[in-house]
Amino acid sequence: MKSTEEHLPLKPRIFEILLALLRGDDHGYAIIQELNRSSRTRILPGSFYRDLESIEAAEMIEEVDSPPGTAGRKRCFRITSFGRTVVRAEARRMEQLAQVGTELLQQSRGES
Amino acid sequence: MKLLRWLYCCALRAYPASFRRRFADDLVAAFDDGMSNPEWAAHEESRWLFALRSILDALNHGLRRRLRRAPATTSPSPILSLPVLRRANPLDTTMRDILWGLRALQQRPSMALAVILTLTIGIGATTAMFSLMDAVLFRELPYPASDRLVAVQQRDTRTEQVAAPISPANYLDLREASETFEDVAGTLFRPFGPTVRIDDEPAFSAQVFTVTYNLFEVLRTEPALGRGFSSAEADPEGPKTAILSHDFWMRTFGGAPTTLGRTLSVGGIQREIIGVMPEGFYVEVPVDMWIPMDYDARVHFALAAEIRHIGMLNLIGRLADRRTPAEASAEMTGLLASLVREYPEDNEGIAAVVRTAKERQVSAHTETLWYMGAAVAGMLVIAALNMAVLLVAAAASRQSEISTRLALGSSRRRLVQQGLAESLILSLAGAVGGGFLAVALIRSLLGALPANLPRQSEIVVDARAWGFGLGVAVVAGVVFGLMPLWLHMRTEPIEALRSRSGKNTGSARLRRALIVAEVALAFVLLIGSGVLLRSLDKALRVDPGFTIAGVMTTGTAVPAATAESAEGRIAHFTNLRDELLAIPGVVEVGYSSRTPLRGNSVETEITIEGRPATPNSPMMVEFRRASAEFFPALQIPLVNGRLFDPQDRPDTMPVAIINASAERQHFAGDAVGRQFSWNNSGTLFTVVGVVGDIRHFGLDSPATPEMYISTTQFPNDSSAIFVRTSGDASALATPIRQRVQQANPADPVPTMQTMDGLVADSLTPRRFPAILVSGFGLFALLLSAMGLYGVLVYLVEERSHEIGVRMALGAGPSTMARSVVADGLRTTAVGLVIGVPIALLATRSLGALLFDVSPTDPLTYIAIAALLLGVAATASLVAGRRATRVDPAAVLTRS
Repeated sequence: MKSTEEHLPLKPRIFEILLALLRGDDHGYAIIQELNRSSRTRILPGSFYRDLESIEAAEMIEEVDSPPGTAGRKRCFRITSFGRTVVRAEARRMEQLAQVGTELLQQSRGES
Repeated sequence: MKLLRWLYCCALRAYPASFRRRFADDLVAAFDDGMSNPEWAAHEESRWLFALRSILDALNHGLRRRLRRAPATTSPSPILSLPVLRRANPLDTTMRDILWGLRALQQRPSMALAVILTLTIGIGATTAMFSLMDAVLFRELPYPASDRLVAVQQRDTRTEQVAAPISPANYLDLREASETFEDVAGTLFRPFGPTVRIDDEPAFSAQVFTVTYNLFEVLRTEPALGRGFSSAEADPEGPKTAILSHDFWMRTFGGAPTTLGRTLSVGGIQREIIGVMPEGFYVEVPVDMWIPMDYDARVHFALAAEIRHIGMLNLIGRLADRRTPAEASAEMTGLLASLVREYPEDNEGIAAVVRTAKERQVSAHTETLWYMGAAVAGMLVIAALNMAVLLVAAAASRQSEISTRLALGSSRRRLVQQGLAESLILSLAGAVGGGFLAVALIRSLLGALPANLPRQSEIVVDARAWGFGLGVAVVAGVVFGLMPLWLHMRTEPIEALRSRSGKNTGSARLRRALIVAEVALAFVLLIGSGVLLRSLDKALRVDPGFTIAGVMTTGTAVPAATAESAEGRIAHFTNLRDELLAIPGVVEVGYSSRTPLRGNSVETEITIEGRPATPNSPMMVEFRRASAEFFPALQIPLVNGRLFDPQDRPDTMPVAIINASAERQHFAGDAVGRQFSWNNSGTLFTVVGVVGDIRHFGLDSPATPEMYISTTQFPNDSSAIFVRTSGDASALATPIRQRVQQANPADPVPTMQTMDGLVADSLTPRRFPAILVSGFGLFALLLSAMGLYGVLVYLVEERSHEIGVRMALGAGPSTMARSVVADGLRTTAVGLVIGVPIALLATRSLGALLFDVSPTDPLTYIAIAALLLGVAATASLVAGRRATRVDPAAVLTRS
């Protein structure tokens, strides 16, 4: 049985990749473009594919056949159900963290 | 951009093949997309930095992916992001530092670009200079065990002669008696350019070096094809042979092995080709072929073993086992001294000059090259100082960030590593750029080098030069990269955090000190270039004693059929002169055996009738033949007496013309009518005229005593021609060449040169360092101006509050601008004050390279100081304008 816990917390970049794949199957290059749109710095392809390969090895995503009309030999990926579980766990973790943070802030304001 | 894409694809090879198969297309597509980002149209440098980062990123991840070998499951999951959980391996840290440095630079692309450009020029020039010095000065001569080769020459102790060839008879005796040498060989003066003809093909001129038969054995270099010379060829009756250079063999015979055994005519003598030397082989200078000396007095360039009073051979010996150069030197000195005692008449006043073969070859250039090397090093230091100035400025603006990190417990070591990574990235980028620049510089330099600079063909930017450039870059990166860090490390982080006003007096002081150093160094460089340029200018203004403008010079040889008789030779020259005079625009045509400024010397001793001999100060004159029209052709004035006359024939009284120097030095100012003989030949010459001095050995060499004998009285079989025209001499080159060639169709196509060209050539050794050092100096000036400007702008920004307040209180903008300019001039003045004594010290050794200018020439010092102050004032004015743009209202509102 694969453990969700051992992958948490997720690197922000990996979380973003998984989020991008939640919107639908896509190839790596398209994900980079997506991430570039939403982030301030440009993503370097080398580190991106390293991340992609590692989450594939962790079975959070899997390669699927490219849809017809894809140019070149671009690899298309789909998020696995395990991947969804990890994303859900990470989201829950962040939610909890945010909650703790908000409470702490309110407390500290009450003290000051 | 294609290059960057190619580099990126190369970098991708760092990944294992399995990874590449899956993702290479995607990676390249992502890279292309990044490169074509429209936002970067205005920031080309950002695009480059993106490419650089991507390449390093691919190398980093690719190599790490390879090291990891198996997929992620076997190692701790890379998905874990908390750094504490990951073991920090050195490769990791280094890569992270590099990427961090790149990111830091990407945020300040113009600063990064300025530093890289500066360093590229600095390192490029230094690397090019290193390649040149390496080939000429540092490398051993290209023969096996070349450190065992020793050059033997002689000097005349009664004159200032430095080193001259040794006579054939003395050579044979020295070789026979020597015990310190395995063997001694010799080369004749320098190569000559006889007519060469192969079968019935058109004749051409080739460079031929006459050498002793054992030369190649002494150099331990065998022909690549065929055999070397043997002792049989030293016999005048022995076989006539030649050995070709590889280059000439390829050019003329297409590298055919059947070349061996063929014959060619060299200067009219049929010679069998017996060998081809290896590619790139040369002795002293590259030539087309070598012929053996046969000690035969009958042939023009051969030697008589009996000649003892005329030096002809430069000797090169190979030391015997366990013998040292010092022993060889002592032995040669002793042997030559005993030859002087044995043959006092022929060997009067000579002494041995013994040094290593390499020393002999480069001694004339050592000083110039080291001087240029020092100049280029000075320029590099200025470039590195400029990098330090910019890095200090950048560091100052990051002061609070660094203080925060220190306060939070970041280790100083890590900070130093990151800072070093940043400056090393810059200097390595400079090194790569500099390497390519050096290649380009060397390529463009090769045509402009003085012709007498040895080993020019070996000047290349090779691995050694690249290594040198890289080494320089690393040293510059470390030394000057640590400077800003040292500034931070001195500050207590808490202190720095407390005063976060951004003011950093330490940094401002450091930068000012760096600029002062730059100005001082630039001053030294500019003084060097200033005195070299002044000396070149003075040399150009020298009156050579003859007309340069509108004169064309070439050469002619009398056809073999008519060369036998004196009448035939005279007729050839007379007819050719008439032919040339018929060309419209030709004013006068004269002949002489020597071309001024070519530097050929035939010095000979004369004895004046009725004057006792003075053995300790021989009367030496340069000997030449000249036609009567030679003097009007070059407009050399007649000072006294008459010029040659058509009546001066082989059967009339031998006459001579001397120059004013000879009259003054040897005839006590009264020469006409006096008689003299030369080289104890017995023939008495009567001086019939005195002509003006000419600077035969170069505009920057003093005139020497000369004697001319008449070409109609002693006609030679070849001569230089001087054609004075009424306009542009080069416009008449074609008709002149045609007439000269028609006069002797068997002769190779004559080479033409204008006197202007000869003057330019003769000054190359002077012009070359002057132009190079001036280039370095100008670059140094530009850098210092840029550095000064940058510092002043920064100071204006720092003082903007003060300026605003003062302007609000009524100070005019011009007052503020003036204070900035004064600041700039003050900094420059301090630099000058420091620079003057350094310049005085540094240029002291320049004296030998200068002509008619003192290295401490006050005019140059004043002019250069004024130039630097002027440039500094301009840079300060531009910076000062910023001060006037400070808006007092805005400043006061902010505060």
